Amino acid sequence: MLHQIGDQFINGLTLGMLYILVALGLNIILGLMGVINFSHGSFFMLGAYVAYTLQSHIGFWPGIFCAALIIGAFGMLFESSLIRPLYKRIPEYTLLLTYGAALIFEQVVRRIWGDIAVRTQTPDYLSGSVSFAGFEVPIYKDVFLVGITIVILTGVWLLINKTNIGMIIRAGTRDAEMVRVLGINMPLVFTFVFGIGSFMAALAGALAAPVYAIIPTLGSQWIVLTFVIVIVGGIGSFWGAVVGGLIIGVVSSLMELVPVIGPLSIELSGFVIMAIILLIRPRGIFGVEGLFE
Amino acid sequence: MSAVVLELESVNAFYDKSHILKNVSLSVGEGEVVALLGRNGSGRSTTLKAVMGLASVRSGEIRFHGKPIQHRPTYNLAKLGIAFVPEDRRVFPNLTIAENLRLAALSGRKGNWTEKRIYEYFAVLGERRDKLAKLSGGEQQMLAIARALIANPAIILLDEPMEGLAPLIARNVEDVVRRIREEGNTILLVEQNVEIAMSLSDRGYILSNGRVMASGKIDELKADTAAMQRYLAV
Repeated sequence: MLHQIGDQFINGLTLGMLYILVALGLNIILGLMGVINFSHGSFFMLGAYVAYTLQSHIGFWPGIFCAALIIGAFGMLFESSLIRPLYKRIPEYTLLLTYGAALIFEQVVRRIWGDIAVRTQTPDYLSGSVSFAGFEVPIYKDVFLVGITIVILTGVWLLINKTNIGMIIRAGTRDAEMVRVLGINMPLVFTFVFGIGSFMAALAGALAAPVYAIIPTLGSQWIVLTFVIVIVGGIGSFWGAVVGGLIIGVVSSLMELVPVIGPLSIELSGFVIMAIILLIRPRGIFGVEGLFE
Repeated sequence: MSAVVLELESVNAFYDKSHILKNVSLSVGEGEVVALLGRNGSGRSTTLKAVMGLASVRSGEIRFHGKPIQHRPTYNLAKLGIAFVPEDRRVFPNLTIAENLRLAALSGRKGNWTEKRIYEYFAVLGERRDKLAKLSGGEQQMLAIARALIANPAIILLDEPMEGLAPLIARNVEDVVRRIREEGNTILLVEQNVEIAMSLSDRGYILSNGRVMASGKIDELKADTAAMQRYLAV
């Protein structure tokens, strides 16, 4: 039993890492622009599918990074052409637009790649497993994926905390209008940030593709949970996404061991944790009070 | 009068459907401090916001050094040399004091005001430059003014700098405004306290219900007791 718990804990960490990658982009976009981006899960799914197609032509790694780049660029186009005209309206407009777009993306994916799950192959050198403290740990999923996510998160942390663009993003999360008054071209910053967020979601999708089955409903499955993570962690917060992602990943993984609720564990534990957080700390663990007031 | 820096001609500005500014015309010359006087709701703050593109200007023209700017995006105005210090200060509490200043300097112009000089001028900011800008009202106001100065603007739009401050702190802020005025900075000032506003300014405009009711040099305005009484209740 202890061994099972350990296995599930490691599984949860890996899943949590992917959640963080997706939730962080969603969180920054929501915090900075006030856009409730229901397409974000689609960018995760599209990253996986595009990587799947590209990898058979250009190889595993180029496939992953090109897929993320393509979806990141697509995200920028999506924001600048469809979302930008709606900023002056109430947030429900962008919510409806991105939700509608997510439905369209899902159907497009069905037409191109079909309804049946696909899975990409890791290169041979990453496909084995290593023994660690009595556990058999798959190299790609539990070592490499966790490692690369930590590297990416470190990069994003440095971007946010040590660069001018990061300073603009942090300030804009509090008061985007004042940042404009100080002379920053916020529409351009919004597009850039949307691109980064889409890039990260797609990267997570492409990295997850060898581990989790890729299906057209992947986007809608992930977006709900990603919003849960953002709410649990706190809107606009880097550490909120990190802690929220890990909590949801690990708890939902461990709950799989519990009889009866096992198959429902992911959604169920996400919503229960969210409900508890909303009751005791509505702004989320690292959230700031009154951000959208 | 010296070269005109900022000029409004028959400006009509709106918040949604509310018509706030009605045919407002005014000008600010280089090195001048011009006060916008009037009661609450007379349109003084809206005048500053209209210049910054934060209130919708439906007709009339706003010119900066003779060139129309009312269709330019807000972010462009800082680059041109217009700095706005809003009534509620709006410093970023999640950034350090130094970052608040650097953010303003990013799009600002090069000039006398550097981060180093700001810290000499505002000792309270220098001492805590690397701390988050979780500041008292007076300190926030100092930072908001410093943030405007570091952009080396051609004109500063200063909205109610003493608002909501304890008398002693308000006095400090007043001294700061007086000092930057003495350095020859051009300022368009909104200040509730008529006496202070007049003591800081060269000229003034009295607004009521979104219209300019009287204007002139401070001495001329003071002599216009009817307007002073009617529109400013002094």
